[in-house]
Amino acid sequence: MKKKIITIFMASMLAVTSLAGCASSESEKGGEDKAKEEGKSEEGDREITIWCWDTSDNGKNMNAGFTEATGIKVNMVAVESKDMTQKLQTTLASGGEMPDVAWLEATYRGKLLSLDIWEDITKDPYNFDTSQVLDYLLPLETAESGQYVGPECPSVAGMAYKRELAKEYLGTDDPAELETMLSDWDSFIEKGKEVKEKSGGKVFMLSSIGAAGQMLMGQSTEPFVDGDKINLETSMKPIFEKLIEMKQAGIVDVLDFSSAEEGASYAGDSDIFYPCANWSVEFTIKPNDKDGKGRWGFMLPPGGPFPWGGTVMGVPKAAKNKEAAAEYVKFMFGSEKGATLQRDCKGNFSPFKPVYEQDDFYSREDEYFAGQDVLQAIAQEVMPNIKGVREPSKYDQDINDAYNLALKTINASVDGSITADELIASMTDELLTKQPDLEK
Amino acid sequence: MTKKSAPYAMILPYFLLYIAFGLFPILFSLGVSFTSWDGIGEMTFVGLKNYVRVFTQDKYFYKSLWNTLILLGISTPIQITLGLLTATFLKDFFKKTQNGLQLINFLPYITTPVAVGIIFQLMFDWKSGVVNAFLNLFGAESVYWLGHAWTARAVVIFMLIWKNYGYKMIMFLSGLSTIPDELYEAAKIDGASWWARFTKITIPLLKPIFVFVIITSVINGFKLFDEPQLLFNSAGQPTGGPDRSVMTVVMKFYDSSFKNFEFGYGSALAYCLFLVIAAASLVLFRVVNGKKKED
Amino acid sequence: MKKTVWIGKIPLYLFMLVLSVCALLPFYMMIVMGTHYSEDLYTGVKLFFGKYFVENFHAVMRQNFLLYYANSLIVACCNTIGGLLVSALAGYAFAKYDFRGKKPLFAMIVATLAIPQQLGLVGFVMEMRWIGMNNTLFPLIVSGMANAFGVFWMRQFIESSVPDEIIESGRVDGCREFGIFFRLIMPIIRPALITIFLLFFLWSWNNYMTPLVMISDQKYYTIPLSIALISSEYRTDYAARILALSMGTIPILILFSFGSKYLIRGLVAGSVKG
Repeated sequence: MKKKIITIFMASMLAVTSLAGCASSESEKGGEDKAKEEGKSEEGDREITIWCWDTSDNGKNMNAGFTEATGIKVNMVAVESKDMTQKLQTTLASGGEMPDVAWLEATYRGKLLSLDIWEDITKDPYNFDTSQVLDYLLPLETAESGQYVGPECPSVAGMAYKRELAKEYLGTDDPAELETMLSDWDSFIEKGKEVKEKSGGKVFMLSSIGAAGQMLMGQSTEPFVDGDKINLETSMKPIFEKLIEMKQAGIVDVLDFSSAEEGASYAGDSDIFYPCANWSVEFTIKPNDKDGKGRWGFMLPPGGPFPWGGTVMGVPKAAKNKEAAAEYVKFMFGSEKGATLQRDCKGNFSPFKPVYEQDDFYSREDEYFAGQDVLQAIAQEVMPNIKGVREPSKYDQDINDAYNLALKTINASVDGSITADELIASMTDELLTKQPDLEK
Repeated sequence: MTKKSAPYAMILPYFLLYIAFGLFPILFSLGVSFTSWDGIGEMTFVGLKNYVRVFTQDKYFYKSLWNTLILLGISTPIQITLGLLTATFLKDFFKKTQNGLQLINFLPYITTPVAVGIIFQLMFDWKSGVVNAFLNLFGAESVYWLGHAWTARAVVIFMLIWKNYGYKMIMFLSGLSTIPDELYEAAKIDGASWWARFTKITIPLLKPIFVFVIITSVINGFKLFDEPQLLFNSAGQPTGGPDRSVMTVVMKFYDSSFKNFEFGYGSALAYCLFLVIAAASLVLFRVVNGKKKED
Repeated sequence: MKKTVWIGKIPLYLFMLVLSVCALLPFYMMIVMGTHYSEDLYTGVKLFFGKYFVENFHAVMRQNFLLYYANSLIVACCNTIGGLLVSALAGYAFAKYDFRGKKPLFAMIVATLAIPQQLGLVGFVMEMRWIGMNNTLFPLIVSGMANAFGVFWMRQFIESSVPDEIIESGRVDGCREFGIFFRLIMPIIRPALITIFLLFFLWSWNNYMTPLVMISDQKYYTIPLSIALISSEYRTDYAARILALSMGTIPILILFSFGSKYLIRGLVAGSVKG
């Protein structure tokens, strides 16, 4: 009896699980058939799997261009940027199947780069040529051990502004004039006070403390952690001091940075300036300000342009199709064809130096920006003027989290009645608690 | 199969499944908690070092425990009261519409937590949230709900109450339906008011269900993770909210294990939480169950 | 007389009304939000349906949503039915038999209620690696199948709602022990089975953590994981995600609308003893 019951139970479980298997293998077949029809090639069944967070049609089209050129199929698996670390880690720990290419986002990258799990694609047989990569990017893509992990599209930023508001409160909507007027942060704050007075406190220079912080952080290169030593005093303190100054001057709106409510403010008319990366144009400004044609302008921010974001392509050592993966990386990030696909499908810039020798490779008049050629401005004014980058560290994630916490504190303090010293002290304390290896 | 061996056969599947997929992983984690391991490299045995770190070095362990206690301590009594009141009202006054009202009040419990996180973020937004819009109607100032320690806690507490009172209501409804109607009828004939009936009959007779509800709420409360995590999940938000005021112990465990690659330390944290829960449930059981003898 | 009773109840009705509105509002907002253009959600309070449903629906369906739906269904059904049988059998044994070790064994089960389920997550991942079941639906199906809560409730329910005479009469008629359980007991405890079914199904359906850690192969994604697919590189389509989540709530909603009255009946007798 006992046996019978267990057998029946097990049998029914098996039946159900195998049913599950059938259902999914069928749909899998469907997918394969489709793929086969699209990319018949002599190479046979070469396919790579990419873990990424853009499985949109744009991404698919771009990869289709690669399949067409090489016959290698691309299978995209959606993993959110914030889940990538965990996903890679558990897959490694559990011996699961690793992707052939993984996307490593800027905030979470430091820790991931520091792990000894990436294939060196500059070596034989891959031979990815880093001399063709924009120089400023290299430190961002190199592990603390000195190993080069993989390329990324340059993500750089200037500042966008609402023309109407600039004209009304600053007297001009011409980028060059604004750049001269707001050449450094002190003049930015002074002008901000005038704007505040003129508008009766209704119009702000920036929408969030975090927006100012993003620019200031990007413009400095001093490391937050130097080896095992916390280095916030020289790196973070000046940033906090400026932020508190802005808060006290009342020139910054109270929204949370990169929150949905900040997104909504793009269409409003109480905040003038926004940090604006190359990807912000298509993905932040246009979706958030649907009727904003002609409303926008693009300029270099006080203190100059800065790097913002970026996603490194890592090829794990444990990947199955490393050579095909390297081919993908070389094609997308080390060839003009790839650069064209990146540009046309996603509006991405390429790290491939030669394309910047053509003046009009990145050029498009943008009606959102009243005909301003933002692409060209980014390629020719922003990119060459990036002064340097802060090297990724395995503590980036902790630092970023503690920094976000400090931003909240500044934002919630009614009139900026908090000192940079207090913030640094609690941030240091926080880092020491989380990472006992660190020293003060 | 004889009457003697049958019960063993009946509990066998449970224990087999539990040992295979419940106990084994837990014991494995116990082993891991004495090591330093990032899940990828070699495991190194470090003895009690992780536990020492939890109790002596990591002030966030205490902070997260304190946060958990606050959230749980405030929300649980309200959930239970609200659940009990709704249940009694439904039974006494809304007989006809009971099924519908029951479902409505149970809806929050079945809504996917991921959606709840997004919706509450929106509702308690400083600038565009419906809650502040409502406050403004009465001339009150907008509140930076998700920006201050205590208001963030208040939002999480509200979320917890909102989500769980329906579940408590169902539990109490089931308890109520076991109380014989004759008792109430007799009391009515004696002229007892509704309130008297509620306090003299309902509450005492519901005691067993109170014990169950309180103990499971406390246990589940200690395991709190979803609500605060999802509320501060979007980019640019610090883990655990402003001043880490809603960081719970399980969040801390998740952070250590799956964000910082510290499987060993994370497991030690989880075991410490388990110790706290076990101690709390024992004490509670004694207190709530009082003189009642075990059956 | 009647009128005063009615008036006296006004605060009561108000209380119920306010509470029901509070309960419904976020749920209603979820449905409404799925019909708006994502970036519009934050420009003001949206209390009415928008015009963007079709586009959002397309965004959801582009991602093979039906497959993830099917995965979720398979996992939830297998997990629930398996868990139900296991709990009912064990609960029955603990309620109606006397056997050596009964008390300590039951105490052990109750004690496991206090263990945070995340505790064993790391070990579970490793275990699945050793038996080669990573990246299948198997770990999702078996995780939590041995549910202490289920055994506890089943025992309480059976103890108080199944008269011993039925079991005895079954034995007299020559039924074997398991026969008694399946033929005589199961029909009696149907309300409890339905209750546990609903709760197990709900918990399995909404589970996020286990699939997040266990599944990296997209063809085995479940609904909570799949909403991550609905986005592009720099833009998160919240509206479409919420629509996907609302669509994911439909089966649960249907199950609970039908099962609502059982939910209570099933918990009824279980609650007599604490």
